[in-house]
Amino acid sequence: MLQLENLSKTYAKGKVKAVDGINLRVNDGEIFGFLGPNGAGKSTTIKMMTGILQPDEGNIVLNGVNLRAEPYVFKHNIGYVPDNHAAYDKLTGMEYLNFMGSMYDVPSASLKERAQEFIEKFGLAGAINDQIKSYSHGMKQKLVVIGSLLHQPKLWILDEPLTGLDPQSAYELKTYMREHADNGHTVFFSSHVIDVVEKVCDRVGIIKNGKLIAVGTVDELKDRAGESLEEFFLSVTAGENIGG
Amino acid sequence: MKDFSLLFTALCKQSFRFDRSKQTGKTKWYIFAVYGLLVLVCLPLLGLVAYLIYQLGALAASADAVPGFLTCIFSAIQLVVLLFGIATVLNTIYFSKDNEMLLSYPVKPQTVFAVKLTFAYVLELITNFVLSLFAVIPFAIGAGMPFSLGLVFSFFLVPVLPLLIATILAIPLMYVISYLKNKSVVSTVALLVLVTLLFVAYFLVINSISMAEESTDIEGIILAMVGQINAIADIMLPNKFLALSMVGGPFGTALLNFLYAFLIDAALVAFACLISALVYKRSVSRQLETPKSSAAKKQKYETGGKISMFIRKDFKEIIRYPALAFYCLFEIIIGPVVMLVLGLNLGGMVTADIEEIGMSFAELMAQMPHIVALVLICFITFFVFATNYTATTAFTRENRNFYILKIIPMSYGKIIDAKAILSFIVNEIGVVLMVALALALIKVPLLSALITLVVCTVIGLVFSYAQVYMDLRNPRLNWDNISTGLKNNYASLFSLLLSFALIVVLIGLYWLFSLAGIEIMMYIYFVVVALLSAVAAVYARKVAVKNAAAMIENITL
Repeated sequence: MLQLENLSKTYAKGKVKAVDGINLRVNDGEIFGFLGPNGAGKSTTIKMMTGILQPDEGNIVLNGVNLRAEPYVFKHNIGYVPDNHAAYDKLTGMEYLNFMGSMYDVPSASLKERAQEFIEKFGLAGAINDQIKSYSHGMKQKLVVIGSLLHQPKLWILDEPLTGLDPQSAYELKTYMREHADNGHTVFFSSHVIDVVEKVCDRVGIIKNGKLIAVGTVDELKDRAGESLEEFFLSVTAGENIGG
Repeated sequence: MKDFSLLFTALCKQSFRFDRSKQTGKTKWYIFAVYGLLVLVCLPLLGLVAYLIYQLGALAASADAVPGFLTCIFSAIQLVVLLFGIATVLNTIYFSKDNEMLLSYPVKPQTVFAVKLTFAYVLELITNFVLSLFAVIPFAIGAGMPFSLGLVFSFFLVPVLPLLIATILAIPLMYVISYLKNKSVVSTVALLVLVTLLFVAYFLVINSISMAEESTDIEGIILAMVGQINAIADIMLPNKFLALSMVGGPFGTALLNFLYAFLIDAALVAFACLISALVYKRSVSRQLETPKSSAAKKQKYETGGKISMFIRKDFKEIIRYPALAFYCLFEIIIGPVVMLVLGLNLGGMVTADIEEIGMSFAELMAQMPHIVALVLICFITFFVFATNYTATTAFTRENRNFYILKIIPMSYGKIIDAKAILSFIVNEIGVVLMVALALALIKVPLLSALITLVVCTVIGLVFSYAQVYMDLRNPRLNWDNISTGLKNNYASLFSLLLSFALIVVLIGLYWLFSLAGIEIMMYIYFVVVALLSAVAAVYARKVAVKNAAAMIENITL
């Protein structure tokens, strides 16, 4: 179970509150969708959850492990797919996976088994020995997704994971997110595409101006708006653009 | 012209504009301190160089060979600009990450090429200006040359030739790199070999002047040197005419000579631009093609220890990026090349008898192996440790992938160790090469070689940890080509400073130990230096590891 306790982050010497006292609990076996307009604080929250940014206040706890107190144990338990697909592009896909496997202490046999499964699933077999710099946007995304799953993370964090993926791969990814959650793990997923969030997620949180303004199951939120999740989103974030 | 000025302005802003997002309102004190100390250390050295060149000016005037000497000074400056400029030209014109974007604009590729070439010229102007300040001006004063506008114009004309040579050299290199698609390691090797050859050629030319004739009297040596210099000057026509335009005489003759220099350079510019612009689009396009492996290779899964895998990742990133490899492996080129040329020149003298002391140079070295070791250690400190870009770009070269260091479950201490070990390995290659060349060519005593090897190994560790730590204090992570990443790299400045300081301390300590007047004290000196260095290495590692977490976590892209 993932817990965010009073999580806050300010920029510009405290003048800008990017994330303002977020409290959230995401259960095992759940896919949690994270929505918000541009600049709402989604990326800052995710970067704090992955250890990239340090919170000014609050705690992030995964199955009793506090990120602040035990960063390496915590990081061992998460997989992260960033929105910019940055990877060491002079390495080949295979070298990148070997590198990620070693970093997360995945035994060679398991690495081979898991990597082969994902490489097949995401159709990267023909390019896995090429340098990453030669990959298309979508191929890089697939590789980063595979790298994030090699150690079977308890918490899988995906920031805009469907951008650039072909329909087949997008379908595979959504299916695997479900499978990962059904195996008792947690999936934390941010997206611009409300339709996908509506279809894939068990629960959804909406962030605006750094504050979590709504949390609930898709049905609960839809009921509050009348018709669709999109309508609810637009009503609570009135006047702001979705994204980013 | 509108496209040119728009693109050129954008490129200048991108490269030179201060990063406001990094402005905290408070400049760190140690940055000022490093700059201040570097100025304090470098100024006397540069002053000494300027004084020697001033004396050379006086000598040239007395030998009535001012134009020849000035031509050679221009040529020497051009060679330095060329050696350091070829990577800049490659990075700016051909390898820059903005090429893809620029080629998509409705602008002629020739315009893009002209913008890039002009930008590379501006960068070389800066290098040329600094070199001229400490070479041409003292020479002119020493030679009693009158002030002429040619001096001002020389700042602009001198870098033209190396720029053109670099641009032309870059064309075959680009074709080699394109031909070896997906084999960037070979491209890197090709670039390194080319640079090494240029360095060897440079030092051989310089040495051929200084070792012109084996005359026994000063007058004979000067005459031989003047002859050699005039011979070189006759080949470097644009430089010769530029020099002639500056040495005085009737205004009409000076103007005519300047026009000759200008027209020759202009013709060369036109020629180089014509050839380069013709192949520019094709060669850049080929760089942007995304090669695929032709044959399906066997998938090789292997995991390893975190530190070893991290080092392997880091090394592959360096060796597969030719421009980065150029900087990171520079130390194993420059030091050994200097040693090679020194060895080739001293080779004949080593075994020959020196009449005044009745023994050969080799025998003389064998009588004082500790001095030989000290000289070697100082040499290695300056040429290898001070130029260790593998360490000074340890975090800078992570570029926008820096976030990965934060998410992987690897302790920051281990990351520091991995970075320092790789730097240390590169250091060690440089040390071993230099010692081996000194043994083989200069015939230094075996004992001196062993002492150098041991002491430099320990000092190399200190430098590696200290340089990695300095880069971590202020990495430049937002770059599109590594030259930008290295701009104002404090870790490199710090390395220079540290190497100067170490050389002073080593010589000072040596002098103190020699006061005892006992031979064995000179060997105890090396033991003490090695022990102190070991303590410094442990301390540097401790500081780096202790502060790593706080520093890495505070770094944001």
